[in-house]
Amino acid sequence: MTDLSQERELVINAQKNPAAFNKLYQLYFDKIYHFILARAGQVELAEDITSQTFVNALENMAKFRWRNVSFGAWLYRIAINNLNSYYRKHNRLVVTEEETLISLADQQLPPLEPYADFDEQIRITELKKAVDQLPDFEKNLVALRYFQEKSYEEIAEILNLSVNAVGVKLHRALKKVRKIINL
Amino acid sequence: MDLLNEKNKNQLLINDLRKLGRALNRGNDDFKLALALKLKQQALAKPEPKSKKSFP
Repeated sequence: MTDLSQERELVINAQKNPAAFNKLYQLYFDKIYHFILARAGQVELAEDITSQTFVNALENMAKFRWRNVSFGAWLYRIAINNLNSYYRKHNRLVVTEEETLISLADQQLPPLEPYADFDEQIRITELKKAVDQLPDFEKNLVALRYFQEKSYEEIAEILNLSVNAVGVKLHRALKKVRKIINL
Repeated sequence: MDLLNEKNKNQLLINDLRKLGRALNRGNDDFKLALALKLKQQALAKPEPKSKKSFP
């Protein structure tokens, strides 16, 4: 993990010279793309939203200030806004059968570790479906905590919550998942 | 006993969520490169940030 002073320097450089944004992109691409992919569930959609997120960040670099949030948290916030905006626009649209099939094909999980047995594959696939049933806000929490391995403090910063609230809301989300999978 | 059982179930769930996370973290190097090029072009087309005005 890059320390904040190094990240701050990268941000200052990118604010002076937009071409230097590339360093921040390299630092954050994987994290942001994986977060969006976990939330979107489709590669093509994840690519569109990731692209939009970094374009928004590049365009708004001059406005970014360290006052309230770190650069990383700011990027996640842009990603979440773009995801929310996409789902607001598309929730009411009827998904065609073809799109459903594409979506299902995209959601097939790649093989887990070589030692993972078939039962485990089934369990994890069911778990994915259960997480997908959570409200968007709880999906963000689960993705940040367990897919991205963020600390409670980092999640609190990204989602603009208190650390306590992160713990409480995460506990509720896990309880819901357990109920869905009958654990 | 029940409390212990609850804790174990939560831990099982958390372990599985982490496995799910690892399975979802697929690389996409072609896209990463394509987007890097797009951003580079956009950055180069961006006007330089305003510096202090110099008065004649």
